Amino acid sequence: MRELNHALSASKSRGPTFFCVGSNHRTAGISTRESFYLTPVEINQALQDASQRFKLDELAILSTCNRCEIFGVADGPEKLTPEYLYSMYRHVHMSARDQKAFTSESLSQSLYILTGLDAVRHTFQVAASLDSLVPGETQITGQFKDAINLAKNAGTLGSMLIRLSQEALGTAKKIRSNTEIGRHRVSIAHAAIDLARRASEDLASLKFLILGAGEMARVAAEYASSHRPKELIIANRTSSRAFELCQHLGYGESHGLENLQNLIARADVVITATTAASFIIRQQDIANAAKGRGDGPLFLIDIALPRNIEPEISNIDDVYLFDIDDLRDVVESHIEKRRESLAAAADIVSSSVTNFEQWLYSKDFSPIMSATSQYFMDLCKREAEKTLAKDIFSELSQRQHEAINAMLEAISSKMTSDVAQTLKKLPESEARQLADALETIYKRD
Amino acid sequence: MVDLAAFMLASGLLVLGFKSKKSNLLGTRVGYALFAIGTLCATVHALLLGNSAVLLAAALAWGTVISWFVWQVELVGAFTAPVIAVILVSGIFFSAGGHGAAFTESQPAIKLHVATAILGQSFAILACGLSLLFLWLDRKLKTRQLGALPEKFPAISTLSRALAGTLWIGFIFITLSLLSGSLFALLGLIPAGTNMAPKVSWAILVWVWYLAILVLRGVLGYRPHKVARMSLVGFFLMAFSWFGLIFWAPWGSA
Repeated sequence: MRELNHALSASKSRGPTFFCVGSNHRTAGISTRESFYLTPVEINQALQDASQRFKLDELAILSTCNRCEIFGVADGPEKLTPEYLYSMYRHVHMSARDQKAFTSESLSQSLYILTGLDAVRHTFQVAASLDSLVPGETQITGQFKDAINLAKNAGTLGSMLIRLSQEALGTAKKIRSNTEIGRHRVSIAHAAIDLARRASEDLASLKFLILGAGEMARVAAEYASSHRPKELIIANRTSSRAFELCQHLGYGESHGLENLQNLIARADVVITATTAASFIIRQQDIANAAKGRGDGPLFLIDIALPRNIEPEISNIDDVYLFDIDDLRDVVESHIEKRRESLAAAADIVSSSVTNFEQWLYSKDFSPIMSATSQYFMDLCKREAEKTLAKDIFSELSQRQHEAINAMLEAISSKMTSDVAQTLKKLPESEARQLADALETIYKRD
Repeated sequence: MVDLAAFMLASGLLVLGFKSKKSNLLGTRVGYALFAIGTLCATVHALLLGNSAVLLAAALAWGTVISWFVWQVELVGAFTAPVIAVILVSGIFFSAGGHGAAFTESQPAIKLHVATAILGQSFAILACGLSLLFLWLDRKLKTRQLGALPEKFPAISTLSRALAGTLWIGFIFITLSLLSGSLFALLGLIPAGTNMAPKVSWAILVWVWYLAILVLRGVLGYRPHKVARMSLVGFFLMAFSWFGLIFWAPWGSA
């Protein structure tokens, strides 16, 4: 994305022009991104200030840990100079936080500027998570929706941005359905549950024991419960936290760590994610638990750091132990698979951009097409009334009158349609010349 | 010969599919199709010719197809397809050397005995294939080579369940073949002058071995990977009775 810095693509259209100015994980380091980050309250204030100061009706801000972008619609491409957009970016952050470190020079190092269809394409890519650190992650789509809602609340969301966001979210959905970009899980906790498929393809047939009630344990428990396993046991040193997690899930049973061996004996898959400083499952625990188990395999997946499970346990027959490094390799391979899907996703984005361009185009010409259609309709109606009033048509029945009027309406529609088709087929400059001519002829008011 | 060609081609494609990490390769699908064609051809071939090698090949092919549908362990075909091809090749040589069993010309009682023995052998071979898959997966999981596992490789409990199932089915057929052989010997239906001692001894040894596996698993709770190793030994005992003793039996291994 760095090569996009200052890549102000000249838009040929005279009408409303999309723009995007921002920074992301590729163009700015973490400390810079921290200084760019805006909270929802700050965004609300910044949107109202910037829309007034820069006289923009449509404006939105997307701020996440990996990017902070302002996107909006300007009257035309002329004023979208780098200086103007840097100034807007600086103003947004200064009005929100009174930061003074945003000089044009420092901003030019970190920001990219996109206008016209480049901005549209970029928006689609961002919403579909093609521009994310981990392609295909779903969080960004939700954050994009939040950004649109914030703009709506701040009163800076208009018809153009609404349409842009609808197309962007539609494209994201299409990419998720038609490519494998979101198929392979890329978080350690998700990968831990997916690894259990090596124990049994049907996760609903397994009994899960999750040790811990922190963030990793919560994500793992949520993903496990989504498969409705045979049993889901959550155990934590403070059993009340395990209970809270079970309540949050609406599934599973909670325990303390006192009867750990009995709990292990019940499980097919044990996932440990506690903050314990030493091993909480030792070889002897598994040996004792094995006496009460059937002949199925026991998967022990240790996603804690420091580790919760004694490594020597892997020497026990039919017990399979994995730690966070093993899962990291799996996650890396999943990210690689997602990257392989980027080309197919890019094709979908291109197709959506083309559709959006056609919509913009038809939106540009819709006033003149409406006037042309009205002119043809009026002309036909007027001439029909004049002609049918003559004596030679006095004996025509009501049905014959209606048939003639219907024929004239059809001619009028066909002529309008021919003009619209011609406008679509012509290069933009010629189409605009024709539109000007039509305006001169038919738009009399 | 069509069946042999189909299984040889299927062997190559399924082994390649086994090595590949992606499961939806066209080659693997063609391999399954060739396996199905080979199974039908081998069945027709077995019914027309009655050679014990072709019968065994057809039984093993059907056993493989059944395991696909019952336990969803398609990859076992990567092991059985080459074995079937080897059995079909061995059938050509035994026929040429005059050792082929004229199954179709046998008495009905002998046919029943031969059929149960061959079905028992085919499931023992299948169990061997499943054991190899199980031990391979066990090794990869133990050494945490998760990246080396094909995406659609069966889960370890699926393989364990399929192994237990094939061992039971194989054991039932081996038992039936022993019982029917003993009964027909008592009734004097075995051709006169046949030297049965080595064959019966090996058959009993194989039967005892498989009984031991099932008892150790069911009663003493032997873990699946030990069962897998024992079924490999059972396969070699069975293979010796097939390839080693065939020269002593005038109607083949059955």
